[in-house]
Amino acid sequence: MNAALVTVLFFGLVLFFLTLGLPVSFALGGVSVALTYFFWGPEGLSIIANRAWGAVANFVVVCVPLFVFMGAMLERSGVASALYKSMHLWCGRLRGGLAAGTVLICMLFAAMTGLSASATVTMGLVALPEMLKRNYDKSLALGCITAGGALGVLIPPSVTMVLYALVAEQSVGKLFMGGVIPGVILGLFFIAYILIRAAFQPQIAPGAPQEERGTWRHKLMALRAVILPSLIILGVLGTIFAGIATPTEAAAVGAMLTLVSAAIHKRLRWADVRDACYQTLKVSSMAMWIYLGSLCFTTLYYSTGAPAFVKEFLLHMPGGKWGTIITIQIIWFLLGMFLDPWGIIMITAPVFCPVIKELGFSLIWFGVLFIVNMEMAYLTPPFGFNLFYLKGVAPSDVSLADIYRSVVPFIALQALALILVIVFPQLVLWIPKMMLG
Amino acid sequence: MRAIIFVVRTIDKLSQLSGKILSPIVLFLMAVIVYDVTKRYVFSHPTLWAQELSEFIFGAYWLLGGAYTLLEEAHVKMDVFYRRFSVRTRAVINVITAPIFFVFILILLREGWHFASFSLRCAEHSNSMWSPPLYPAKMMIPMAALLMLLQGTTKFVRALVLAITGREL
Repeated sequence: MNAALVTVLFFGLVLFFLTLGLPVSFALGGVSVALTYFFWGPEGLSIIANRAWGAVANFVVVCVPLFVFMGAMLERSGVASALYKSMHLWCGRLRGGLAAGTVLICMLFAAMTGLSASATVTMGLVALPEMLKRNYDKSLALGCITAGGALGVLIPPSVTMVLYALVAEQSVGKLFMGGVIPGVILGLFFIAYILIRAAFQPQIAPGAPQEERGTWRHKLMALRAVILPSLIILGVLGTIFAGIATPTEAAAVGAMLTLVSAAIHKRLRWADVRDACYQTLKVSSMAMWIYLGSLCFTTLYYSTGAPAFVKEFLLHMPGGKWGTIITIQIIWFLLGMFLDPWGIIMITAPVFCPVIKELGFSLIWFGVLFIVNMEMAYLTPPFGFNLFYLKGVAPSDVSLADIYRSVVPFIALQALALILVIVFPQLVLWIPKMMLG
Repeated sequence: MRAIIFVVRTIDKLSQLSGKILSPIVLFLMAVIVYDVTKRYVFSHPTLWAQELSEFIFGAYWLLGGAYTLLEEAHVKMDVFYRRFSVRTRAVINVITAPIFFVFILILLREGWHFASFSLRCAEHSNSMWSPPLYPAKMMIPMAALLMLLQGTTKFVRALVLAITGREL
């Protein structure tokens, strides 16, 4: 069978059915199964159940629901509003302080949860009304939340990284470590941008009036809000990085710590826990069914001889191996405008990873490149998760067009971070190397 | 027509019920692993069963949860173009794309059944120290496909009725 034809046919059909609104998991699985049957007959299909079993008998994937639950519970735990009050006292007097502080809280949240939704939704509820009340420029207020929220998948832990690790067969711990520096750099970019703009245009981000500035006593008392998040971060990331616990064990402990913090904030209500449970079931089931679809796809893809064809194609990009990397970034960026990051990784990783390995690049670095690229995908219209998350919780006078406009400068900063990570792979590889040798 | 409505509603209720039963399992999963972690790091006496058990629990959870997720329309899709269409046009499109869904699920059902029933026939056990039987976990694959097939069928019937008559079932 002609590999080029199969490849084009496969991707053409998947894109066709995706455009028609068929869920990613079924489009991937269904097209793979149908093509396998068509070209190789029913015998080719017997491996599918085996693949599904492979997705079950795997301790790493068990961290997915635990991280999702942790994020869903943190949204409802009252940790965010406590953090926000503290930040308000410390940064409020600064021009642009509330927006910069919002990014800071997003970074803390990102170090506790593995999804972009948690910080976006909570900050949309807690920080946005405050900033608008204080006459912050709408674009700045909206942009810092959508962009800050997306840090959730770059700063570890990150469910998206876990899914990449599964498909690319890489270590989750190393990927987590690799995301730290790029995530912090990106967060600092946002903060710097906000503070610089606020310095030149004070009217877009005014400082707090005198009477809202707390005394030192108030400020120090407010710092208590940081204690619980620090414990959670230490308990989850600390144990993974120190090599004490596996990501799954750390996620279970983290999920429990989140329940404990909700209880301490007197926000542990059965209705909230139940909602978080339903949300967790839907999100983890959705993710795993996409993974199942992608396993079917990999089986088909490798039996066609298509990898050799795609490799040949990607290796002959103008500009040598860097041309290949740049081409892949452009493909990801374009897909990111229309498709969700989990679908993109499941469709493209089986194709790209062998090529990247052949070129001698690190697959950890490549994974973090993917995540940094996906930071933009969360923000680029028409399809960007964070745009919809924020629209869902914003006051009614905020339109989707307002949100679309607000993300532009932040996307530019994300692109800058992506270029930095491409040019300086050490930003990703230094921590894993230092921790693990 | 009455019979169809009854069947469709019953299946929807079944998926709803499966979601209700499955969703709290994440708490149990958390408890199992935290228990194991405590035994391992505090008492230096890890359990033999916690890892494997949690794999099976999560496997059943996400496999069987697929139908509930389908009922709730939570399987992520690229809806940039799709959501611009009218409700009825969407129903027509759903009818057209349905065969791809059914091919996937039917094959999963058939192959999953072969796979699990083979395991059952030879009473397969895991080769770990705990050595639990594997067939109950493997049976989750065809069971999940069956639930998914039922839920997919009611969605298909709803779409078909909407596409033809222009009215919701």
